[in-house]
Amino acid sequence: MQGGVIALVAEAAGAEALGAARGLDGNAFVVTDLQIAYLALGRIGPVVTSARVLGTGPDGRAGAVVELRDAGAGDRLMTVVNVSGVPAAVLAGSTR
Amino acid sequence: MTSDHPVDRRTHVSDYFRLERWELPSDGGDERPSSFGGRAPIDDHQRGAGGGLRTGGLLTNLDTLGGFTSGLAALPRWIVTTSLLATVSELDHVGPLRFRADVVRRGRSSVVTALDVVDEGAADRHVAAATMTCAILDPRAMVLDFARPFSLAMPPPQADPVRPEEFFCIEPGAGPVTRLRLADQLRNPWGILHGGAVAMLADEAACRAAAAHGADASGPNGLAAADAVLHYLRPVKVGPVEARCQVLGTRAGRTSVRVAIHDVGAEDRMVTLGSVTVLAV
Repeated sequence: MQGGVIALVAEAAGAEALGAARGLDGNAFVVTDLQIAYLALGRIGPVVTSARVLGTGPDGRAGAVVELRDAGAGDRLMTVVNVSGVPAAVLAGSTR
Repeated sequence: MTSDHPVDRRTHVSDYFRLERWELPSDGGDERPSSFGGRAPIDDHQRGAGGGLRTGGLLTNLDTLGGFTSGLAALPRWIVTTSLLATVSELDHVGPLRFRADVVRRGRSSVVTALDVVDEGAADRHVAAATMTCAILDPRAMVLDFARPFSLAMPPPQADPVRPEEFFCIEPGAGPVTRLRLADQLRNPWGILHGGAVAMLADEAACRAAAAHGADASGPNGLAAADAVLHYLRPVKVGPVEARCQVLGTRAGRTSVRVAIHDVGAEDRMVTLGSVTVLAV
C-alpha cells in the first residue's frame, strides 16, 4: 500500500473519530497535523483502521491515535499515526 | 552542577525529572517484549508557561522510558533513539504524570515503541501520545546487567532545584538561534548528548524563535511548546550545540517552527531535524 494512501486513510479516519467525539460529521473537522510511523508493509488487505481520541481542548482542538492493520496478514500493525485537528469553524479565517 | 562524584549517566537526566519506572513483564512469555510503567511528579521549578511540565521535560521522560523499554527488547544489544513523534493534548497538569510504554514492533535493526501519558492528579486526563523509533546497535563495552523485572524508585526531590534551562545548560538569549553547552551530566550511557536534552533545547529554541517572530503571545502566560517531531540524525559528541529555527507560519493560534540542531564543534554537522508547534497559553 502506497505511503501517501496510508496517510490519506489515516487522515480520514482521524477526522471521523475527532468529529464523532464532538458530535460532528467528519467533514466538519479539519486535520492540521499528521505524525506518521510506518512500521510494516501493507501487502494483502483489507486494511482496517482504529482510532482512539485523546482529548479535546477548550477551542475544540483535539488529537487521536490512528492505527492501520492489515487484516489479511494476521492483523499485522502497519502504521501508527498521531492526528491533530480542529473544527472547521475554528480554523476559518485564522490562517496568515 | 559540579560535583566531586562522577555522574551516573544511566540515571542522571531521569533523576532530574524524578522518573520512577517499573517493568511490566509480558504475559506472552520471553518471546514478547516487556512493557513499562513510569511516574513523575511535577516539581514547581519544572513547570512551564502552560502550567504543567514543559514539553521538553515531557519528551525527556518519554525518551528515557521509551528508550529503556526499547533497549530491554533489543538485548543483548542496545539502542539509540532515531525519532520521537509526540502529540500533546494538555499543557496544564496537576501531576504526578503516569507513563506507559509498549513495544509495537521489534525488528532486526529497529524497535518502535508507543507511549502514552496521563495526569494522575486530574483523574487520568490524557496528556500526550508518542511514537518512538530506535536503532539497534552493538553495545560495545556498555554494561547491560539489569535485575528483572526491572524497577527504579522515584528519586527524592532536589535539595537545590534549578530550572530546566539551567540544568540542561541552555544559554540565555532570544531570537531564532539558541545554544546548549554540552556538559558531562547531559551525556547518556553512550557518551553522547541525551535525547531529552535535545528535546529540551528544541522546546526552548522554538519558543524563543516564535516570540522573536511576533507570534501571538496574548495569553496570560506567553508561549509554550506542544506537539513535536524530532529526527535524531547523528549523535552529538562535541558541542556546543546550536538550534537554528525557522518559523513556518501561524494558524489558529499555533505557530509551526522548523528546528535544525547542529553540533558546532563537530564541523557544524546537523544532528537533529524536527518541528515544534508553539501555542499561546
